[in-house]
Formats: sequence, structure tokens, C-alpha cells
Amino acid sequence: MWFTKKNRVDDVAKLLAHSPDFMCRRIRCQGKIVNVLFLSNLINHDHLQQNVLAFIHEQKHVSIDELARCLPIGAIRICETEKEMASAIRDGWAVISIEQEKRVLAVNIAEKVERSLEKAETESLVLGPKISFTESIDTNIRILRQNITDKHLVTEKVEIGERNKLEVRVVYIQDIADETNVQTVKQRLSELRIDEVIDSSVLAQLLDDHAYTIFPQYLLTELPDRLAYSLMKGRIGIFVDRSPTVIVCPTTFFSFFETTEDIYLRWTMSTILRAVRMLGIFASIFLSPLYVAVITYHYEVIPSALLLTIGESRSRVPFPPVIEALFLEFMIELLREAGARLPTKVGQTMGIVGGIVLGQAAVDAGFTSNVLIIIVALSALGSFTAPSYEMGATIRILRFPIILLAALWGLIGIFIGVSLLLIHLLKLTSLGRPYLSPVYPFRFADIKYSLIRLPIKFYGERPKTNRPKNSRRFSWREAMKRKDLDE
Amino acid sequence: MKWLLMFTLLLSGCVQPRVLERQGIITAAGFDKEGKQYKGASVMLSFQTTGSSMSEVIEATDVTSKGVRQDLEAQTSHDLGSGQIRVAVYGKELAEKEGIYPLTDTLQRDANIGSLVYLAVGDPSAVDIIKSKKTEDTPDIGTYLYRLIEKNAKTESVLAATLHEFIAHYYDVGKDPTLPCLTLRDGKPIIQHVALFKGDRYVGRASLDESFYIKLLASGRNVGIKDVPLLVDDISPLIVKKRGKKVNIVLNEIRTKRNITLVQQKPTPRFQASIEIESEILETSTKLKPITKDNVHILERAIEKQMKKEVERVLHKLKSYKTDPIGFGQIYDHSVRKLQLTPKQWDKLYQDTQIDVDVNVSILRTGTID
Repeated sequence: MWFTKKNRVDDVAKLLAHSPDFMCRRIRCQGKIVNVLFLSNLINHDHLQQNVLAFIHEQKHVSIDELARCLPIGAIRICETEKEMASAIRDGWAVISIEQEKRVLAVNIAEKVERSLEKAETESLVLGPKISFTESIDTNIRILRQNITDKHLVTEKVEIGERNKLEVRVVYIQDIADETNVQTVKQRLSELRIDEVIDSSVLAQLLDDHAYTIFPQYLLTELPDRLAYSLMKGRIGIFVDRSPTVIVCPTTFFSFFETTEDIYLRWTMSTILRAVRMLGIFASIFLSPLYVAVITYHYEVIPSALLLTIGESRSRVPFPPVIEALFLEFMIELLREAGARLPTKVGQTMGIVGGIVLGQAAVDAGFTSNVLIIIVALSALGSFTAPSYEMGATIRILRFPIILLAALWGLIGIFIGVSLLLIHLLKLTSLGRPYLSPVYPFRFADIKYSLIRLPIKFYGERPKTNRPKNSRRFSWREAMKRKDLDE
Repeated sequence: MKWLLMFTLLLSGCVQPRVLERQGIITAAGFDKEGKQYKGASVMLSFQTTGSSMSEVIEATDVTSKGVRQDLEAQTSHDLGSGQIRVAVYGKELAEKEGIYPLTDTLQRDANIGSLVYLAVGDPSAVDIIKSKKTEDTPDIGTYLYRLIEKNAKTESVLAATLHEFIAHYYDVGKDPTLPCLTLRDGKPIIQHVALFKGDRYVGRASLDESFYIKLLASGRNVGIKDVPLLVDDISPLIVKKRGKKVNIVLNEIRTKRNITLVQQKPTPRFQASIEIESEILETSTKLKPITKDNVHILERAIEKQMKKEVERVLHKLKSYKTDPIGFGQIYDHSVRKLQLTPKQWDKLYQDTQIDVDVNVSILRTGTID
């Protein structure tokens, strides 16, 4: 195949769908015609002028090999076909072709748009590092490498998306993470046949073990310290380009209720905070159903001191308890959803208007009892204590079927609901690993990693749930011995 | 299959809802017998949409107790629900002539009613007690009666029984139930006596003073304070100025141990009942000399003597009523091998039973006085 200068550029332009920002800068240098092809929207123009055009101009002898040797640019590539050239140009590279030479040189002068590093928004912490991941995978990997200097850190690159290519990085600590888990992740990624993946949350759904469950099976985090902590304990992280959240797997049910703050705070506080969170979640699921069941079927279990208060507030309400509860729960969901969709400033005002004005008005108008307002507000608060946004949403939705069961069969209905939920949770897996660990299968030593928190000296072993290759972290006795010698 | 199961559940799940505000919640009920007619009254909570809630008493008279219930239902737009019932009061006449077991049995069979309902006897009428409007700070008479009985049974010498205990003691051989006896004083229900039962029949009553010893012997539980009248002659070395014949000492019991053993089975049963009381002095009616380690025994022996006398009197009274709330029969039954004691046997034996009482008082504190 013989290329002429002219039709070669035309062919590339055709492959780029005749994009209006496709440019071809032609320079005459040492009697040769040099073409520099690029998409002007994608590149850094200063870079182009100073390091490419000016450099070529100053050269005494212009050839592809010579340029490849001397060009002051880090990433270069030799291309031969138009297809390769077009794909390089699409990535923001500039292609340099020289008259009479078959091979061309592609240089990376892309300028990617990205925001600066900011504080974590969805998983905000009081104590500890504030930085969060951004949309750029390069930045994210850089942040991770700053967090983990372990020489065994592996960041494997996988490309997915048949049309819209996406870079995915599987990261783990080679001598800690379980081999089977790593293989499973890699296999599932390589078996994906999909045109495009928008975000890591979508990828997490694609990697799910169970598509029909309400529970999230992978933890999504935007905190580098949380990812680093998980990796060091034997988990695997999946970075996705253009996504600020990282998938952590395998995940257990209880890890959705942990925050890194539990480790930053002292153990007494953390244990209590974890208990508060668990209680909050429990209340969030069961308070409103209990109200419905008790008011509808089991008035005899109400303590006599509360009987009058509840009775008085209920006597004003014209609806059966289940309608009342569903109405109020719906209102809270509405408030939350409206607040999430609106701009921050308006959202706050609406929260106040909705929460205080509507709530008070609903009671005054006799739509709901004020006891239920307290209960619904409490359970909404409880659901927001879940550190993971996905799990919080799951818990809010779980409440509705249980309210219906309570309305149908009272307390028996609630227990039917609990049993079904428990059976379901027992059957769930994340990356093939049991979801309810360490409660089932019971791993006593791991309880300190999920339900409670002990003083640091008890954390000499990595959690068994992650099946780490190397479970030993440190020996408290040795650590203490050194100190004694110093004294 | 899955769907079939689901629909079966959905269709069969038609439990009658009992929505709270549609219930006429009964907190206390009273039963009387007047001639051949049953008279019943119950306190029903009615929730007010504005202002504070009220309780309402509804009354009915009929030949059968179920008829009473029907009459009561006819008087209200709410469904009468007895799930929150706290106290059931039975008229003295009813308890004396008919026995209250059939009425307690219906309470026990109702799954909505807990077995921690307090039972009481109304003297002379249960309906009058229920109709009383004086309920202190509680909104209804049921809650008031419940708190009255609960408090007095826990910290004072009142012998109370829940539904569960009453039925247990009713069926027990060699132990009879006791219930608090409510009377009206200025229209306000108070506990003045303890009603003694033989089986489920009211046979007599004991004063709270006497009930102190019954409770002490029956349960060994905390029984509160006790006023002991002592003869001046018994404690003459402690008296400052002799005036009158008696000195009253009020004791607060701190710790009590009681032990009843069968010491002799034939020809007549003989029990040894020993009581050890550790107490403090709260009040004396006349001024005494400072009580020290050297002379405290004088006081202790005098109190022991008086208490022994009183216990013996109480035991004699119980025997004359043919009732055994302390449970000597139970101890007899447990102590004798291969014996299935029948109520009839025990009735006969009880009359000849001899009980030796041994009281041991020690005063730990005499109170802080200058």
C-alpha cells in the first residue's frame, strides 16, 4: 500500500467522523513536509507549540526515528495503520507523519479535564483524612500509591466496554489478598460483554452475585483511607476511570455499617458508636411496623403509662394505622428525595419547611398522631446513620414491606418478615463469600472487626472473613518488649 | 407452589383487627352478687380528642356473668377489650358465698389478659370501689388500684396476689390464697385488711398488723415497718421516767430469715418456725436511756417476747378460720415421704398441728439521735 500525503490525512479524518476540531498542521522542515494531526479540543496547546512544533522546526535532520529518540515528551508510540492513528488522536494524542515515511509517531499531549481534589461529600468524617477520590483514574491511583507504599501493591489494568472503552484497575496486595477472590474478580471482568459502563456503581451491579436482591453486595467508597484499610486487610479494590467511587470486595453485610472513624476513635467510643448505629438501623426497620402492629392488633402490650398518650393522639386520626404510617413514611421519603434533587441552598429550606411545618400541620389537622411523627422521624434518622448511602437506601425501602406485613398479621407478620429477611441474608454471597460473616458462618475472632471494637493490641490478626494469605499483622508482645528495653 | 402458599397466607390472614382507639379499654372490673343477680362494673378509658382523657364506669346486672358482659357491651359504642385490665375486684359477699374461682378462671383463659392482674376483695361491695372517683393523679381507678396494691405489696406488709398466684395457691394442697381487702374511706379506696381465703372462698380477714407476720412466715420477703407494743416492766432498766404501762417501739426490718421445719409427724404434726429479724429502731413512744451494746439485749428480748406472743395469736386465728396461707400443709407434704396429701387430710391434720415459734431479734441500728 502506498500513501500519498493527501489521501492519508483524508482517511484519518474520515475515521474521526470528519470532526470539525480535527486539525492538520503542515510544516515544511529541511525540505520535508511534516504533518501534525490532532483534535484541538483534546490537547494542551502550549505543549503542542513548545514541545512539538517548535522542536520539529529546530531539528536539522527530520525522520520518525530521530524524532522518537529526541522528542521531549514522555509517552510516545509508533503507529502504522490509520485505525491506530485515529484511536490515538481520539485519546488526545498528536500524530506526526513525515512525507515518504510509512510509520508515524504518536505523542501524548492530551489535557484531561478534571476537578481538583476535594473533601469527601457522601462519606464525611469528623476525624481522619478528608481527601476523596476524583473522576480521573490516574489521580486516583496516584492517591492510592501515596496511601500504600507496600511493594506488593498490584494495580492490574483491564479494559472493558466494547464501544466506549473504559480503563478498570484491579488493585490488591499480592501477598495478602486471597488468590481465588482475585481470580474471580478478573474472570468476571474479562467475561463482561457490554458496550459501555458509565460508572463504578454500574460495574458493581454487573459484578453482582445476585441480581434480584435488595441488598448491595459491594461497598462503594470515595475515601482513599478506607480503601487502603480494606486492601491491607485482604480485600480487593476496583478502580473505574471517570468514577470517583471505588468498589471494595468481597463485602459483608456488617461492613456497610463500619466507618474508618471507628478505627480513628478510641475503642470505647467506637464500640458504643457501632452499637448506636446498629440500634438505629434496627429501629429504622422495625419501629413503624411495630407501631402499626401494636395499634392495630395488640393494644394489650402498651405500657399503661403510654396508653393514654398514644390513645389520645390516635383518637384524632381518621385512618387505620397502616394508612397513617404509610402516609407519613411516604412524606419523609418525599422530603428526602426532594432535598436530594434540589440545589443545596433550596434543599435546606425545604427540609425545614417539610420537616417542621408539614409535620406539625399534619398532626394539627388530625392526619397523623404525634407519636407516629416521633417514630417516623426516629426511623428516618436511624436509616441515615448507615455510613453507606446504598445501605441506607436499602434500609429505608425494607421498612415498607414489613409495615404491610404488620398490617396484615400484626406481630406475627413482623416475625414472618424478619424470618424471610434472615433466610435471604443467609443465602446471599458477595464474590462467592458469605454475606453475613462473621455472624454466619460464625467467626469469633472477626467480631472485633465488625460488631465491636477492641483496643488496638487485639488486632494482631487480619480478619479471617477475607481469607488473607498472610494473616499476621503484628505481635503486641514484641511491640511492647522493645519499649521495655528502652526504659 | 410459592404463589399458592402466598395466596393461602394472604387469604387466611383475616385476623380481626382491634384498633386501639376503637377499643373501650377496661382497666379494672368489679363483680358483686346481690341476691340472685350478678352485678358487674368496669372502668373504661375513653380517649378525648381535646383536653385530658377520662375514664367512664359502666354497670350492669344480670343473672349470669356472661349476661353482665352482654349488658356492658350494649352500653358503649366501643368494643370492650380486657387486654389492659390491671385489677379485678370481687365483692365480699360473692367471695364468701360462691367463691371466686369461676370468675378468675375466665380471666386466666383469655389470652389477652396477662396473668399479672392483681385480684382484690371489695368490702362490702366491689362495684362501689370501682365507681369511686378518687384516684389521686391517675386518670382511672384501675391504674390507681394497681399502683396502690403494687406499692403496698412490694414495700409494706400487705399480702397481695396476682391472678397467677391466686390460681396456683387455689390448686396447691396445703396453701391458701390471700388477697388485699379494699374498703372506702371518704369515698377513696384504701387497703385496710387482708382477706383470708379457704380455697376460693373468703373466710375472714386479718389486720395489716397481723398480715405482717403472715407475710413474714409465708414468704420471708421484705415486710416494712412494724409497731411493737412492749410492757414497761420488761424494759424497766431502760426507762427514764415511768409513765403508763406500755411503750411502743417502731422497727424497720432490714433483713429477715425465716425457717419452718416439720419436727414431728406423728401422732400430730409439729412445726418449728424460727424467725430471725435484723432491724433498726425508727421510733419509740417514750424517751429511753441511750441504747448501748450492754443494754440492747434487754430491748431485743422484750421485743422477741412480744412478737412471739403476737405470732402465736395470729397462728391461732388462722387455725380457727381453717385457712393456711403460710403453707404449713405444703411443708408437711414435702417433708413426708411417699405422701400424696389431699385437702381433706390436711384439713383434719391442721387442726391438731402444733407450731413452736422462735423469734430472734437483733437491733443493728438505733437511729441517729443526739
